[in-house]
Amino acid sequence: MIPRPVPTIEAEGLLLTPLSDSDAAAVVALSDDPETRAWSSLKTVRSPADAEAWIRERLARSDGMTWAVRDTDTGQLVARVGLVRIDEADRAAEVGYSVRADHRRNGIATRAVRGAASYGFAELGLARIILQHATGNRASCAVARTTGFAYEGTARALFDNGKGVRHDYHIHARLADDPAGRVPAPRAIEPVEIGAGRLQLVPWRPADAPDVDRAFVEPHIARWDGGPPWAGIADADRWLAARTTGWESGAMVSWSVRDSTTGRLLGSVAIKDLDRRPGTGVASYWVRAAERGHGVAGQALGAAARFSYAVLGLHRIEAYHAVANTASCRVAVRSGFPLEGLLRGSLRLADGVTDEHLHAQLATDAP
Amino acid sequence: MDPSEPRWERVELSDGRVRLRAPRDSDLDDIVAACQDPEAVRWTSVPQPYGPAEAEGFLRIVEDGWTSGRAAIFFISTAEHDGRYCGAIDLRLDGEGGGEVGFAVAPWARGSGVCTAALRLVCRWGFDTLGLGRIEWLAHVGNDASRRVADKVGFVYEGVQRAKCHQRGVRYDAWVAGLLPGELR
Repeated sequence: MIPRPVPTIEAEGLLLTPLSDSDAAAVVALSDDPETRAWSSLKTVRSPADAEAWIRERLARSDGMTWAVRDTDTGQLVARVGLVRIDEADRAAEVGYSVRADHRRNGIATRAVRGAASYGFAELGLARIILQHATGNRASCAVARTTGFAYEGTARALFDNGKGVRHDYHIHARLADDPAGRVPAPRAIEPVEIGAGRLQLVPWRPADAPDVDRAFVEPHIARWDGGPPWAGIADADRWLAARTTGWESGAMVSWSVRDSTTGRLLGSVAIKDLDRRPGTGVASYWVRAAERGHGVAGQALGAAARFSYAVLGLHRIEAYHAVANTASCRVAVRSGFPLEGLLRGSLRLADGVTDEHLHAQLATDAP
Repeated sequence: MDPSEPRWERVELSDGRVRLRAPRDSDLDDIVAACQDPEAVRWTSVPQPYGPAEAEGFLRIVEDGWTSGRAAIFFISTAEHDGRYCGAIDLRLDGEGGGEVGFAVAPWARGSGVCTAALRLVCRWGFDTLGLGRIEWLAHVGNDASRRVADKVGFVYEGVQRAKCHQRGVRYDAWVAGLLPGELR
């Protein structure tokens, strides 16, 4: 077992150096933090003697390398970063890090992780580096995504926290030819138009703001919206921005519903709260006052649902509406979303809390 | 933990029909025959070409796994095949209270639930005797036969790990699933 040499490297204004015995006090300071104790191998370090033992153990490793991360100007140890579980045959390793509590939110973790990963790919010839963190550790999740480590799944009960409880971990990984920059939205959905007879479902555009503003002041749409009072065109911009974000993040697919001949705005349909692992979503729809009574909502809902089953792989779409919204109830039932239950006091509207109906359709129900 | 210190008693496992046993010299020809099978070549990292020398190398890996305490590797046999080699299944320990299973069933023993029974035996032993907190299953994306076996035993799908497996110099994406002690069926 030959200890692996640790070279000094520079990483975007940080100096990554080998650990030495003189770092013991700084390592105690690094470990003296609930976040670090909760998530890292420093959880047992409390005294300088503990720190020295931890440093010696790190220096002796043949399957791992740990760097002290130092401020280039002061030389102060502000973090540690390491490549561990280095498997040369498998060309794989794991990156891990801790940042001193008083040096967080300065991008230190991001720069140190990028530096260590670059070293692993360029000098060790690694093909794959993972970054795994307990699911509650949101800061590490952000560091992973920022440094190009794509989320690949959640390994349940992966590691013991030292107290006999095994925690779930996110698995992120970066491959040698992945870009070092931010991971794009994990499951962006390509916005598409859908033709449905006399209706055309068109992804919303920023230029639709005036139309949206006119729709949301119609009493029957405003009444059931559930949001704060409509404040005009700025709200329309925000509402449209959320539609765009929905496609980009894969959380919602949404369309303006238009007359396929004239392009006139008739209404809106969306499948939101998309969760593609269980394969579920929630339908949302409205129709402008002047266009009601012609089956627009039902046809648009049917088209959006078919898209979601076929393209997104959903198996169940739910629809909720305030019990007093009988028009919405009729649309759901006629579109093949039977009533499943009554949700007591589940919705807060401008005039108070109300019960909702839950309707749902399964992919196997769809005509 | 000193890796030279075995963590287990070497055991054989059986459910009455499927038996997980130690290798025998007479298994060599069957190992070689099983490793010619296109499905085994496609989905596992068996060397190619595969002859008696590779089979003898595999027997050494089996012994080393048991003595090092890192991997329990069993040979699968059944009553209806008169104890003949029907494949191999292993449980590799990660040193953190978790394990990873791998299995390959010989073509002559497929389609009769042998693999499912073997996987159940190994997982039961891993949880009850070794006290594992998690067992992981990985397979190349697209290996539906392996996934069906994992599903039957109760593994819960957890994601795709990119370029996780390497096979004869090429890296492949892997399906990953996990099984916790209460989930074994």
